[in-house]
Amino acid sequence: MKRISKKLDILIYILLLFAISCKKENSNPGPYAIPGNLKNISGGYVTGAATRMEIYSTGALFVGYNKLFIALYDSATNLHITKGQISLSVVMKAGNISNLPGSMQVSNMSLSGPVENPSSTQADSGLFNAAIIFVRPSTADSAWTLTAQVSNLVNGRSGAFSSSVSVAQPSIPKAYSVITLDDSTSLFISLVQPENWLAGSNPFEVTIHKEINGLTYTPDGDYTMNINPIMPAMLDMSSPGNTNPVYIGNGHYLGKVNFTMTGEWQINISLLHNGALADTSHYFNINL
Amino acid sequence: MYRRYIYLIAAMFIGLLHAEAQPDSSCHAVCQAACGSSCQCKEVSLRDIIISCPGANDDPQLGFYKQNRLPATEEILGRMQGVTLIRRGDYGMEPALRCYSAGQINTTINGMKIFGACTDKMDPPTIYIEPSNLNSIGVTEGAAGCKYGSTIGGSMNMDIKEAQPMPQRNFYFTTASSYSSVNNGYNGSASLSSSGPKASFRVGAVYRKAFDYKEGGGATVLHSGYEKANVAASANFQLNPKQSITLDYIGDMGWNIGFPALQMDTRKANANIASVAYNTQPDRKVLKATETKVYFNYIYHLMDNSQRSDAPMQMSMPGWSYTAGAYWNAKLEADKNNQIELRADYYTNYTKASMTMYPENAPEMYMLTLPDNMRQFGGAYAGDEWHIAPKHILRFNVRNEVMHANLLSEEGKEQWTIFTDNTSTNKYLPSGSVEYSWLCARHLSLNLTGAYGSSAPTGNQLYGYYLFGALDNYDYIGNPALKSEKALQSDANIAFNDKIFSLSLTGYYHRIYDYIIGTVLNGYVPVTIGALGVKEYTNMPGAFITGADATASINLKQGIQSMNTFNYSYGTLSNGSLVPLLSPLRGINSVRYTWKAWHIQAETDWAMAKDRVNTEVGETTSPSYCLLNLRTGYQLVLHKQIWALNFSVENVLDEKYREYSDWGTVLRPGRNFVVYLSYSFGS
Repeated sequence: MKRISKKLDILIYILLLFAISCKKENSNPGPYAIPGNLKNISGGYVTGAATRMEIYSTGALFVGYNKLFIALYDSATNLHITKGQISLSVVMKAGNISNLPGSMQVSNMSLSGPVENPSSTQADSGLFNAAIIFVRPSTADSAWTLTAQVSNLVNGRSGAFSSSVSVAQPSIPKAYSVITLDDSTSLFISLVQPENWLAGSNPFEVTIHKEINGLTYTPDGDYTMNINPIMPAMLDMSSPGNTNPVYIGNGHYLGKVNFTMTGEWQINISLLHNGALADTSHYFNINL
Repeated sequence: MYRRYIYLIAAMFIGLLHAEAQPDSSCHAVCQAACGSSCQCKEVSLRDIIISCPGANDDPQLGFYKQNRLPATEEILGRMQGVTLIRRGDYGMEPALRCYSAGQINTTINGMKIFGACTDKMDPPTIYIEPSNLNSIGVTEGAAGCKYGSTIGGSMNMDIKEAQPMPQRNFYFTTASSYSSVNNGYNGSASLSSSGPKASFRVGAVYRKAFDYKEGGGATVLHSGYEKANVAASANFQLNPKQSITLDYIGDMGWNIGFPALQMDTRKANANIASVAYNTQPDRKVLKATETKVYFNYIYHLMDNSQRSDAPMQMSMPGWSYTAGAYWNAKLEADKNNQIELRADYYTNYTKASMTMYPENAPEMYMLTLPDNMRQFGGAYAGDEWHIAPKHILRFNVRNEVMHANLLSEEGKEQWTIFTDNTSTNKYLPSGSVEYSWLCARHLSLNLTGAYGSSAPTGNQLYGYYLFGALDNYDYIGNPALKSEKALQSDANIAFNDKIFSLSLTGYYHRIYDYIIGTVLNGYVPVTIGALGVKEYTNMPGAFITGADATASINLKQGIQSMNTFNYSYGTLSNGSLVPLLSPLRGINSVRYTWKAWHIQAETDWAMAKDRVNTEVGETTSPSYCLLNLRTGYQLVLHKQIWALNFSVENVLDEKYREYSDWGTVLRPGRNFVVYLSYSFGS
């Protein structure tokens, strides 16, 4: 009798386990959880769209390539909106814009920067991925304003959100501007990834944007890039097996950079344009 | 309930291992099985295998040179047939057998595997055994030495003195001191043993300190001093007359050990070596003795260049090595004509080494020079000595071994992604030999050996990461895709032995496959400032070595003894270059006269010039030399006390010389006066 009872207990446990493991997930999605590594940098109501918008990044905004993660919520129900169209722009207006990178032209005392709007109208895990490249830091008398044009594809309404954001100059620069040697084109080159460098093999992705004027930038895929990582403290020792970045679209160039050890590295970059040397004087400093 | 299962499983395991074990009486079980029913031990092989009981006669060469009261085990080893010392400093020399070194040979302590933690090989296992703790050294050349692990080069097993049971309780105390003038060096040692029928103990300690030595001519060789201490403890418990448990521990500490041929010195080194052995001597028809041992050793080594004022940058390189293993060894006697030995073993070795550099006005730089890695080995060995006829003996050795190696930490794997993502490797390592011995005349014997061996790549060869090789001034990168080295070997030996004169001549020819050697990687920049480039370990299709060894000894009743060894080797790699570590014709000739308690000895240590070298691996030519050493000693026995006073003058002619296996161009010590005093007391 005891033995039968024991067997029944085991059977019940197995069935319970099966039932738990087969529980249907996401029958009611609810609000998506925001990953813990993201920091809220701005947010508010999108006027006219009955939508609330929250903008996240992996850290404080800085001069260079900033990945943004945007969440949209129905302003009445606070439910996640996973279908929408977002168009971003940034502009700096000030009475005194000085020390501009390179020789960028200022248009009507305004300055902008390249943006990468979400490529899809469908959110990924509740977030729309975008990027903004800031070309200079905020100062006391010159602030950046981020504007988002939002179309809520769930309720069919559109509107705009605007907010002032603070942009810092990182202690180790992650972007630089170039006036090319061959045709004096003004370029802005930004480091995309990796965010965390390791001793070993690292993907190396940068963007090149051509500045048309201070308010207009276009991705530029016309350049050839050669990289040479060196350690200045080791008599400019280089590392083996690096892969020069190649153009992958939308101004992005992807390669591979290897570091044999931790310490201070310098990734020297040679730019070629139609076979002619465009720039060799710039580099990224890496401290790992 | 669970406890019952655990007991049951443990009992089954022990039962399987010792199904034939039964209690009986004492003495050294393994040795007795090898040597017959008594504990009077002898060499079981005519030329290479040594099995000895404590206190029994060692190998003639070892016994002869041990009486010289040489200060370090490596100096005794250096005088043994076929052994070469790769010298990078005055202490911590790496032993090599013929042209084989590193992972090509097995170096063991009491059968235990031990691997140094220094990627520059500053800490070979031989430094952990002090002469005062050394009982015997078993050297087997070639793949026939596969008992302790698959090998192409041979094995070198150092048996340490252990606590030994005695029918009646007794004590033995000994202390010794020595002083060497060439390095202002002091050695002191003491040991105490207490033996009884049930429990026996032995403890010993050694301290040695030496300053920079003077080369021939009197110039000081900077960064050649050293300081170290060593403790050894052993306990033996007789469970019953046929079963015993032995616990051994060796602790070794070193400080400021200089290596003038390298760019760094040992700042600190620690070794802890421990084992527990269970011995049985069952009174069975077939099974004669078993030994089951579990062991563990931990080595920490820190080297830096803090004492080198010419260093371009300060750096430190710590290294760690953990080895844990177990083996089961059994001696069987299938019949009176077959002495069989079985062994099953497993061990795992973890090593890691890193380098931190401290540039001025820049952040520290750090890399894993040997990323955390583990190599696991499991193997089984069988050996049989078959007396097929009164004058004919066949000896078989067979071993099958497998190895698995992999990187452990994500940090190490990430670092290795520069070269490859596939860093795990498995190896099958078979080894075996057949030896035929024929006593063709009354004192004349002939031995022919054919062998096949394989050796696994070392941790450095698999996972080394910009390891600087001071010999050729290249940084070395490991290669996880390395194949194991294989060798087909043939040895022929003819030996004459009688009470007065013995002569042994050995010729050998070995063909090696997948020989591991560094190959220049073009376009790679070294990490070491000033290095010439980067090499990667690769397999060379083949190599061959050939050579000859000879030993002659004379033992006259008038108290005259003479020991003479000669050797020469030659070989080429498949690319036409010479095999590294080839020995020019060299020899040691000693003659000793003993009169009552006195003895006096003259010794020449000589070598022909080595003009043909492999410059690709950094070898440099070495001129010929001939050293003269003089030794004398007096031993006074007073009841239960023994006083011994030894005095020697080494390199009497103050010759400026270096041996062919020395790294760099650092000269060896010049004239050296050594005085040695010992006192022993026993009850």
